[in-house]
This record gives sequence, structure tokens and C-alpha cells, in this order.
Amino acid sequence: MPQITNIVASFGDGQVVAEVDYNDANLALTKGRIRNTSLFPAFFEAVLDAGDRFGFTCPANTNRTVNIPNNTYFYSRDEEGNLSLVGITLHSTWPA
Amino acid sequence: MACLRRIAALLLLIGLPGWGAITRTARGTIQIKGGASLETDCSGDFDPADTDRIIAIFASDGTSISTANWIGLGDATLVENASVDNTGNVRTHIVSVSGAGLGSGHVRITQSGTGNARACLTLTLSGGNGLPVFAAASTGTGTGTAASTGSFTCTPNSGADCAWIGGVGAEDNLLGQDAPSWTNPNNAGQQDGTEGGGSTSNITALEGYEIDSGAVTQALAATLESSADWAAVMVTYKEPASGGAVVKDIIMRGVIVRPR
Repeated sequence: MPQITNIVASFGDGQVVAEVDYNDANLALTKGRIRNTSLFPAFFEAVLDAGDRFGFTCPANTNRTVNIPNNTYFYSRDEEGNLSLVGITLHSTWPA
Repeated sequence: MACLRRIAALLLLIGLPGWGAITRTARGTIQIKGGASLETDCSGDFDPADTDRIIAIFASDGTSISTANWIGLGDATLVENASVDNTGNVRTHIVSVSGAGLGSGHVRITQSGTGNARACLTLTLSGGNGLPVFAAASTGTGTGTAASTGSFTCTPNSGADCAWIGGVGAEDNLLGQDAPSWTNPNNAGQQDGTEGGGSTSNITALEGYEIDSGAVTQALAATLESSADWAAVMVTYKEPASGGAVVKDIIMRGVIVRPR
């Protein structure tokens, strides 16, 4: 079950970086992570078109990794083989 | 009576207490479809005021920014306020810098890696009370026509404005994306994009903007003309508080400053 990390967003000239890990076999998002070296909290969430959402806040000057609910939030692949976010949106906010 | 005349003279000298306002000015766009160069000159030359914030919205087919500089009179590096990556498809950045001390010139963005399809939109925000500064940002990535970010709040300083700048990069040509509908921010701004080849070999950048004098909580909400992989950023900038309240305080306490 190879895990791959994607950087999703960055704020304040790299003071805050939001990442997701996903399972390359089934494209399920497995972990959300915020690396925060700023003086303010940051927020990450995954939102499904169907309405479910999962998010967490990372306090100031903290790194935080959170498990994403198992096999609920997925990437997909487009016709070119690139990752795609069909039916799901990833949001990040700073300061939260 | 003499005291009243002095107060009137003082008010004329320093101006009546007033409400600052942020003015947005479009400064131009550029699109480039590949090529060997990693550099993008985002607009023609313009001369920013000291109270201007220079902002560039840069969307590319996935590569990151190596440097963003002011090319012209003065020397400045633009700071990345926020960026978002729809991995393998489109990446959008908003970078900005103060116009203080800068003369005629333009923003040049240099990418890392390969110089692929990209589009850049340049604008300035001029603050009636002084330089607008970065306040907060939110990003979003997805696929489809409903571009969004997370929701956040901008509360202006006293007697001042908040400016909301939205940037959406779409992995599509301009022809397929030149009629977006902006809900938040509520004004459509500049747009530019590449053309030619398959639609997903292109990048289009779209700008939305809004100036508010009161506290507002909102998320970016824009409807793209066509379904595409998208990467959206919304950033707020706040100008300093109006000096009007300070002037009023001084007058109410009966302190008169004699002009030299």
C-alpha cells in the first residue's frame, strides 16, 4: 500500500504547508497534514459534493497529522492518467 | 471666535476626517504556451504609487514559482501570499509586494522546472489610508465548474476597507473559460489563457475582486464556463485605519496645532 504525499496549499511564503497522503493503489486519501511555522493556526478540510466533510485545525507553530476516515475521500484519475478531484474539494485556510 | 477660526483653519490644513478606500486597478495580463524560457513578464510597465500593493495571480500547468521580482526602477521581491496545487493539473499563486520606492516596471515570474502553459494577471490595490497589507487567505482544489475555497472573515480597520482578491487557474483554454460567473468576490476582473492543442494542455487564469467597508465572511464561489481541473485562491488585504478618528480626538480636546 504505497503512500504518496501531495502538497495541496502553501501560505505566507511557505510558513504554512498543507499536505495529503494517499494510497496509490486505490487513491484513497489517508492522512491530512499541516506544517505550521507561523504565529497563527491553519485549517484544512476535505469536502464531498454529497455533503460530508472532514477537517482539522493546526495550532500556531505546530505540525499536525490527522488520519482521514478510511476509504471515504478519494482522488480519481482522468483520461490522461493524472490525479483528479471528482466529487471532492480540498480547502485550506490561514490564519484560521 | 478666534478659537473657532483656528479650528476651521486646522481642518482645512489637514483635511476633514474621511473614510479611506481601496481602489483596484487592472494592470494587464499575459499568457504563454510553453517555450524554453522559464520567465513570464506579467504585464507592460506601469509606475506604482507608494501606497499601492502590486499583486500578480499566476496559474501554471503544475510547476512552482522559483522567483517573483519587480523588474524596473527599484528592486523588490514579491512574496507568495498563498498558493494551491491541483496536483499534475494546475497550480495557482497569488504574490504581492509594496509599491513603495518602486518606479516604472513590471512583475517577472520565473518558474522552477519546465516553462509550460501559464497565464498571469497583474493588478494594484491603492489604499486611501495607506498601503493595503495581507490579512488572510484560503484555497481550494477540485474538478468541475464550481470553484471554491474555505470561508473566512475580513474585518476592516476603523474607517478603512478590506479588499478580496480571488484567483482561479483552470486546466483549459481561454475560449472554454472566458465567461465565468463570480459570486464571491462579486466582480469579474481580468482573465487570460492559452489556446491550441488539447484543452488540457492549456491554462487559463481568472480574477475576481470585491472591496468592502464592513466585516464580511465568505468563501470564493465562481462558476466556470466549462468543467475543468481548477485551483482557487482568495486573499484579503486591509488598509490602515483612517487617521480621521485621531484628528477628531485632538480637536475635541481643544488642542490646536499651529501650522509652521
